[in-house]
Amino acid sequence: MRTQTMQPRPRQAKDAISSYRTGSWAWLLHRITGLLILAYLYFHLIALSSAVWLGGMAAFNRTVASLTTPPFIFADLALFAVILYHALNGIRLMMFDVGWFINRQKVVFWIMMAIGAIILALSSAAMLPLAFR
Amino acid sequence: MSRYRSGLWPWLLQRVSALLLLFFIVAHLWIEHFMHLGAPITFHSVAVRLLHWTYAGIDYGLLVVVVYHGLNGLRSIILDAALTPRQVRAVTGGLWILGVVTVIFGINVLSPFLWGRPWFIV
Repeated sequence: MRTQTMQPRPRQAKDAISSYRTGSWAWLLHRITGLLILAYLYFHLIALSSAVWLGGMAAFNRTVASLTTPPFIFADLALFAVILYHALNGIRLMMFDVGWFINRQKVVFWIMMAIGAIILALSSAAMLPLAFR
Repeated sequence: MSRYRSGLWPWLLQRVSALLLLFFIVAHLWIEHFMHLGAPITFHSVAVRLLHWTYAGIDYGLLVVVVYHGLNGLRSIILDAALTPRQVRAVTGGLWILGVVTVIFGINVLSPFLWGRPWFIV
């Protein structure tokens, strides 16, 4: 019997590329949605702060009023979908970390997406009437 | 082995912060968007809400945890590139500085609501 010692292989640039090929779409989407949410965080902090600091209370109220118009309510729901994906897929990944449903990864993915679709539908039903009142 | 590529503590704390975020994000979105659905959001209504320490605490807790989680996630994406240990240390240090600056900036975002004026204006 041939024995092999486990030697850590030096990491190379192609490792990242090969992990894209073998990794699932879920993993790639997790990263994309993560980056989108991080970018939104900075937009969120800067948009809300600059209104108050530079223009006072009235400027804040004007900014919020313009951010609650129909285009931004749709954008909010799109952002909510992105956050839901990242959260539900993140829960799925942590379930595998502790060994739950580790042989049912695809099924769990689609269950999570169904839960997300239901939450998004209910939230849209609550939010969209505000856009058209 | 690869799951610990970013280091054991960053890996573990990414999970811990994820669980905290599940609470903070749900609370934040519920309070801001659903609890008083349809009521106009004004400077005054936000200032009144933040008088209660629970609401201010949720926003500040969310700020710290989301900045850690977001920048730690960004770090593990950057570390997919083949970096030398020295470069990894530079990335880690740079992201820590960015994170601390972001938290200070974020604390300042709420300060006009809490005591009428910001600490500083950028």
